[in-house]
Amino acid sequence: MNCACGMDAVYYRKHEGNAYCGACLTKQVENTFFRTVRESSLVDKNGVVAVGVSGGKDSSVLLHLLKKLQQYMKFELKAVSIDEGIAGYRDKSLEIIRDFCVSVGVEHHEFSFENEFKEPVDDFRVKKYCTYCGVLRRNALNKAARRLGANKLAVGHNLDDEAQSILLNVFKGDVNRFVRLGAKPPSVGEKLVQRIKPLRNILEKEITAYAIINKIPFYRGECPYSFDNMRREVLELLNNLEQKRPGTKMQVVAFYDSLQSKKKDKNLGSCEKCGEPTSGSLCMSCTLLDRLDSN
Amino acid sequence: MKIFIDQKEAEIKSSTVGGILAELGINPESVIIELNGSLVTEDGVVKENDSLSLIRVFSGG
Repeated sequence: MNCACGMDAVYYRKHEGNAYCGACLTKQVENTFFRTVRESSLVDKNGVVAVGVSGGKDSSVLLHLLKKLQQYMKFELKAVSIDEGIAGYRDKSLEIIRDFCVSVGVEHHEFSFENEFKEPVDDFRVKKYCTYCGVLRRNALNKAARRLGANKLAVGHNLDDEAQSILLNVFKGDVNRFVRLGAKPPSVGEKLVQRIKPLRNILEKEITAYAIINKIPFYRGECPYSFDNMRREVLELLNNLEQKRPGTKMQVVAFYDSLQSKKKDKNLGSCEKCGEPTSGSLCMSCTLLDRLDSN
Repeated sequence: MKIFIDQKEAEIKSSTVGGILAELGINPESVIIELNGSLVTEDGVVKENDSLSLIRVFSGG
């Protein structure tokens, strides 16, 4: 199979019937990234972008692409990692991202669950690790971005993540979370740093291929706690559908985007316990930490 | 035919990457494949003693 340019193909986009060599796939991925940043006004000139990096492929590719964006636009870039305290997983991925940040010349800041919440994930006595870890990581990332003076918090959510989140919120009937998706979720509340998702229109498979083609280092291990959660079930459902009906994931995200104009933003208040942004009286982090204390 | 999958010896019947994934019951949407160190598409032809790396697309972190 050959690319349109005549080179050997390394990737085949089933939904459009085109094959790509490494150089042409690289162009495609970068064009989609730049288009998303431009169309959704994700990065401000002279602004400060904190980018959440874990050492995984998505956030490493995001860091690489944001560095490229700095060639065309002036803004400050700071990398932030959260060490959740998952031995044999996060410690290994952090080693990779530390080196990568040094090699691309981006300052790197690390925060940990142990310092922020007094307990690493490995010590949690719960069944649904992902629920606790996800909520607390978002909380820690937001605080870190705020402390670093960032006006944007870039996260490595890709198109697969977005399609999963859309369906997950449908399956859970969670309208409040459903309306807060997109490349630039509504900015509400002073304490919530504006999250941006520059990879949101790029398939996870293409990000993986991009990382390999462009020799971007990333940790290939899987989180030991990620096997028993609903997101994983939705991921498999979407992969099965995508295999039978190529383009399904993109259609899910396109459907969501067509609803954008109809959504209403809900203003966030402050948690009565910790003061962090929340849509209720107590934020989800404090709710979960209270539960951990009582276990 | 004997090949190496993720550095482990394996006996397979198919001679294409896509065929091998089907034989192993792996959804092609969930992996990127390197054949002898280079990325390949599902129609990539596999020969005796070739080495396949299955890179899982989902990392869960």
